[in-house]
Amino acid sequence: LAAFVVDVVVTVAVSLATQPKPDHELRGLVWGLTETRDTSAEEDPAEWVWWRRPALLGGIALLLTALLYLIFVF
Amino acid sequence: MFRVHAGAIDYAMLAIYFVVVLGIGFIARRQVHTGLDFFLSGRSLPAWITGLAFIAANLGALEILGLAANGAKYGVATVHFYWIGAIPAMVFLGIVMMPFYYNSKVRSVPEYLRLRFNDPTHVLNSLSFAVATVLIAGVNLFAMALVIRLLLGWPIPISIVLAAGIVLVYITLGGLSSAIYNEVLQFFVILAGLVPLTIVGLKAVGGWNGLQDKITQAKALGPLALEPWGGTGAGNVTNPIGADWIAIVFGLGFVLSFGYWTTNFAEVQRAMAAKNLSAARRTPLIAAYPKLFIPFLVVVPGLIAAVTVKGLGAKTGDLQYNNAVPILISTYLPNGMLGIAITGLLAAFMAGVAANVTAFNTVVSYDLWQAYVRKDEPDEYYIRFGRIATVLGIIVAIGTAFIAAGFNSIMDYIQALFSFFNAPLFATFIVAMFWKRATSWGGFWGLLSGTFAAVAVHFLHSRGPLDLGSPLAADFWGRWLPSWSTWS
Repeated sequence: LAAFVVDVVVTVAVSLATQPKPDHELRGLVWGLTETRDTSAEEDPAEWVWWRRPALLGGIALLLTALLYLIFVF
Repeated sequence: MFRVHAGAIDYAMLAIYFVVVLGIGFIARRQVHTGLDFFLSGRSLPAWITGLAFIAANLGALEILGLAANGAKYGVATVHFYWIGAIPAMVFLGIVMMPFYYNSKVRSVPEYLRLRFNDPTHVLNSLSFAVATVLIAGVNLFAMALVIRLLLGWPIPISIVLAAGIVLVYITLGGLSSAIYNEVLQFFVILAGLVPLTIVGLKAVGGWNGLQDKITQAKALGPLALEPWGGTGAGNVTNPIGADWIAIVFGLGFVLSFGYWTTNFAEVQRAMAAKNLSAARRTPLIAAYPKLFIPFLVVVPGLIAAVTVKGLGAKTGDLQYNNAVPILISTYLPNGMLGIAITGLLAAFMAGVAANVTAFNTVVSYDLWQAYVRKDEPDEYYIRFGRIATVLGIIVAIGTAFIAAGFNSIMDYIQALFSFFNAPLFATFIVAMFWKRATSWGGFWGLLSGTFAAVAVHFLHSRGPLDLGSPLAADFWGRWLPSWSTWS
């Protein structure tokens, strides 16, 4: 945890003191400059059935985790 | 003492497994035409394959034996390592981070840092990862040899060389595809070994209710050992796990687990091998489902061992906590099932070694050799180099295993080393991906100073001045897997 905090603080401090990279070099690498839309669906419509959607799969996994914890608490 | 009497049928299982594993290597060999085929399976695999490989790569035997040991020692709260300590990070990797990794077409985790920051950051991360991952492979080999000696009585050097040799052959032949298809197979073999063990063990202690009664009465565990969150109030920790909920949620659940799952290339590489972005994103998500239920096959046997094996928890000798699973295997399983269980453990070790070795050869070939030593060679050159890197990596891993056999405490040092590099890496990635103002040198100095901070905390703690509570609580703050540090 200490390593995490030190890393963030130093990164921010040094960044503020140095020149940032121009936006065009960061395209695809940073949030906000990246096309985050998942284009797999357009390439192959079969990818977009409901049980293949990442957000849904992730949500169910988190719900199941909470549920399993609840079983142990009660 | 726990030597099992393996019969012909058990050895037959083991032999069949070895033949199949090598066969997969030879079949995968025919698919390797380009460097991308060898190092990233040509980015062609469906999500369920990469998903199972993702979980198998993590299901190394250190993980199984270590977390069963924690189950025996600390009780049900060990499930935190599977649930809060893994699932949120895996979901985050799949939903938020994977588009950056996959769409930028980087071929490794360090390569992302090269594009986002600069060459020094890239070299720093590539070198530290290559060194740490090959040492971890060696530790895995040594741990495997210990278990095989306990169960079958084989000398340590023979197990190390045999297992390493098999992994070497199938990775050199088929590259990542070979490793991934084998990991899928290993996943099922591991399950086939653990499921009967859990069922037979539960039957012996009178089912789940019987187990609960016995744990409640056990002196070392008691009723709180049945509650993952009970007794974890800040400043008033009575749960055997010895850490409060803040340490569990932020130490384990956030920094350590996110650092491991989202930046460890041995894991992320499996997702990068997927055929498209959607499949890459689903890789860790599909892996999350088996991960949810694996504690029933690992922590539960640990609990069973805690109440059935007299004297478990000795500091030295055969009755150490880490031997909980092998002892159960030798106690409960008849011939035939015995062979499956031993094969399952071996499969787990080989999956762990193979995951590290494939990540190692990719980073050495693409991130070090191609990037800085020989830039413009034809594709075949890098495949050949990748095969040589595999051989060298395995030789170093074998060497590490032999050194570990000589000095037991070296395993702790290697695991500490790994944590030095891993913990700050997630911080660098999160800043890199979400703050576009972060500059190249900011990334470099941040990563370097974070690594030194991890080293400093480790030494302050091990030398005494810094008190972090129980050894396990200290692990939550300082490292990824506590089981690694309790292994010696």
